[in-house]
Amino acid sequence: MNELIVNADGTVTVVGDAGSVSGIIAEAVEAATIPAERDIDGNEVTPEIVPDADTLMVEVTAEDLKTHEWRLPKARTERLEQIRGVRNGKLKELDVEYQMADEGVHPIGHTKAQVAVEKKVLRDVPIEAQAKLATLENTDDISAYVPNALK
Amino acid sequence: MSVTKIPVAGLALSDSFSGVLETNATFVDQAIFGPSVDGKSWNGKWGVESLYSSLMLVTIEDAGADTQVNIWDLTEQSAGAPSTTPLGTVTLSGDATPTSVAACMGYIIVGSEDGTSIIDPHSGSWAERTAGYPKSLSTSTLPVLADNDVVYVCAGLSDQPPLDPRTGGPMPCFGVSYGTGSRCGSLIKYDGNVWDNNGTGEGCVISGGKILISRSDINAVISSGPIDATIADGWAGTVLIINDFPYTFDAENAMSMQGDFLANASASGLGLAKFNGLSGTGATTPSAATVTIDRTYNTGYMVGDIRGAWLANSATTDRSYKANTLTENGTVTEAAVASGAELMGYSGFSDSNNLTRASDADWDVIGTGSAYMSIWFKSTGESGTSRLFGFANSGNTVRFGILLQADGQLNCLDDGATASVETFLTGVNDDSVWHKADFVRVSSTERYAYLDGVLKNSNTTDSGSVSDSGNLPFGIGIDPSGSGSSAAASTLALARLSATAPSATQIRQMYDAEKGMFVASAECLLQSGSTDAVLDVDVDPLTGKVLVTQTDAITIFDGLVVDSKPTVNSGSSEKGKLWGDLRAEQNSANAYVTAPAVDQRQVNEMVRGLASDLPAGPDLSKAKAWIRFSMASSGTINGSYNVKSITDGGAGLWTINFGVPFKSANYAVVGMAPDDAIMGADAANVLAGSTTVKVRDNASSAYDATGNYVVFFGELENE
Repeated sequence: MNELIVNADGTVTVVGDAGSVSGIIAEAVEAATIPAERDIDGNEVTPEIVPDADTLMVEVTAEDLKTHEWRLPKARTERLEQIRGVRNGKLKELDVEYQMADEGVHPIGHTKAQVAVEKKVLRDVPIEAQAKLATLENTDDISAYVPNALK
Repeated sequence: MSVTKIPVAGLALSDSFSGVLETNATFVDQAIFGPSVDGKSWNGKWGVESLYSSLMLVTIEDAGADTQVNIWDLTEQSAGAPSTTPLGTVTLSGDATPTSVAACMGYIIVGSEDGTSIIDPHSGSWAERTAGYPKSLSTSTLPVLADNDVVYVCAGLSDQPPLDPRTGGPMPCFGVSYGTGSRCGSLIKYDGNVWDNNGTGEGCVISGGKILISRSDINAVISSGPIDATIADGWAGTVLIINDFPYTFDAENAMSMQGDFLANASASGLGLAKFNGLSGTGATTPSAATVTIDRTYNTGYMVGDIRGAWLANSATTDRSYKANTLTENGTVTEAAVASGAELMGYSGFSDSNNLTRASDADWDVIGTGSAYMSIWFKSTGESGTSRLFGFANSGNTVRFGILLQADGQLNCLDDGATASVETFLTGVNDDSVWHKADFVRVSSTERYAYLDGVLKNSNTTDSGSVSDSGNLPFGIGIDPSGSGSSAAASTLALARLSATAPSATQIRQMYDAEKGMFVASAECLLQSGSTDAVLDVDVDPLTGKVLVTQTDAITIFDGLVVDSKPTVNSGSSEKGKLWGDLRAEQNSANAYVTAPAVDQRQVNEMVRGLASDLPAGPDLSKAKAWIRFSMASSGTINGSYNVKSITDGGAGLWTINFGVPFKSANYAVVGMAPDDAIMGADAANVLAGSTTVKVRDNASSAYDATGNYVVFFGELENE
């Protein structure tokens, strides 16, 4: 089982063969550390500011990650992005159907107005999805959610 | 048939030799150095006769108002005795109290009450260097030392040093520790800067591209970050060892290090530490394995956040800093683990005779976190399930420990709030032979069981929280309640409990280091007849053996076992250095050296063999990193090489971070996604240290695909 780290921006880091949790966290702390400022004689003018590692990244289990407060907003955003992608694909298909309806050769006889209604439903999918995703508190539920219009 | 080797001109055997270099009671310190130690020829003054050789010894003497420095040739001998004519002698005028010496790439650094002096042969004769880099320093030079009271010096290389025009090799760095003032020590860097750190120093070493300083004010060893990246005073002082954990004796008298293995000479005894890398702090790299040894006990390796180290030549004493002393109920039998061995084993466990301790916060609130148990055992076969050691509550609803069953299997038991999880070490383990059992609980959902250093079983069942504050008594050889399941047929030794999970590599290394303690006549303690104090310590760069110098004893440890006990040549012993089988000794009467015979032809052939590898250069035909991973859910790495981590940047967007980065972004990336998707590199984010890849499905939507493969070719930063 890979070791997991959740970052403050909600992204997830999976530890590989050449890494370690402590090493990755130590690097993050070092990168975020503001060095001490010194005068020309080497005297410290302002001290080094070392951020608390817990404000940058935290090791989590796969189970805890599903409900982690840093992870959930990111998971919702990613899922919404995926839903938009699927929605966009279906909108392109309806563009073709609209053209066929205009030419009177729609395969099941839909009119342009009927196709337009279907397109409207798809355009509203992100609004509906965003509202629904905001109510989900587990990344499994977020990943499984599919808006009705896309089923 | 016996074969007699006959020396022939040009193919001569070099005889062993030993003898006194100089009779003198005022030697202060010594160091073995030379191109052989540096692993690099000096392209300087080989043409100058008798200037230097491939292996030398530098000694410093307190010559009253001055310091005398002598350089001895350790490759020259006559009639079985070393050359007693030094290659060079330099007097450091006014350095009345020399303290220490170290050397690297021909530069000798001497510490004294007047700062540091640099001596080298690179201008054609052994002389003090007072200009350029490196040079002698004090509080009156530029750059300045923080204090003139230099009590310890060290020399070594950073990871990526510039080349030295004098030698053609890497330019060394140096370090000092101060005995007074507000600074514990300084790094003297190859660019001429001196970077200080706070505290009071007592020892220092350069190893692994970092400087480590032992601080007497907080009983700690601190490490810099990479020397190459150190550009200011107050360099990040990461604590590697401190007086809680990782726990060992500090370096109040001396310290020596090779790679990530540190040896400390303390008035209390010998401290050893094997670091699992040199990054992070004591809190974030707690998996360092440490040992303390004195004339009474040898703890074996204690890992990270140690909570107890028992059965180390005491039935009851906890040798860790935790002092979780056990109660001896009745009398437990103590006897050598093998005939004539110094390590003791404990047996005779029964309902009347056993070892227990009341519940303690050191183990009764482990929760879902890490825990590690290690114990050596020898059993003739229990009649029922017996407890080697562990803790449990009265209702046996929360338990953690190692049990030996009647059928010879070991049961590593992790019984938490969710489930009782048994991880078995199958086979006949009660075969009257000493074995080491290691039970590693990484978390409540991940655990590993090892026998004799080898991983035998693991599982990921969720045991839940192992916590019952105040209600988890501890027992060795008995049920923690103090009655039942006694290990009547078993002998136990070196029981350790930690809240840090070691790696499989560490488990193997610890087993290898400790197993020698369990054979007949094995010695594993300090060998002085009068004191625990260790005056000097030296880790042999060739073998990793540790030379321990006490006033009346010289002891060489291999792992945690005494390898040999050379006799002190004269008077009382003071310092010692190892180079394979060659040993240099400083005692109260003289400087002495003993060296093995060398088959010159064999050495020549070996060097020729090694040299044949040198021109190879980086191999651009091999993959330098690869990974198979899934983007689904939180991501899973199924297999990888040189991959530090992967980070989810959004749908279908993942960054692969390398362990060792490439030299530049100009390397090749080859990727493949499943057959329902397409993978591409995010061109703007192909960097030396990482590559970001993006996967889209056939409708061009970003897609977290499973079964992704990425391979990288190019030249790594360290090639």
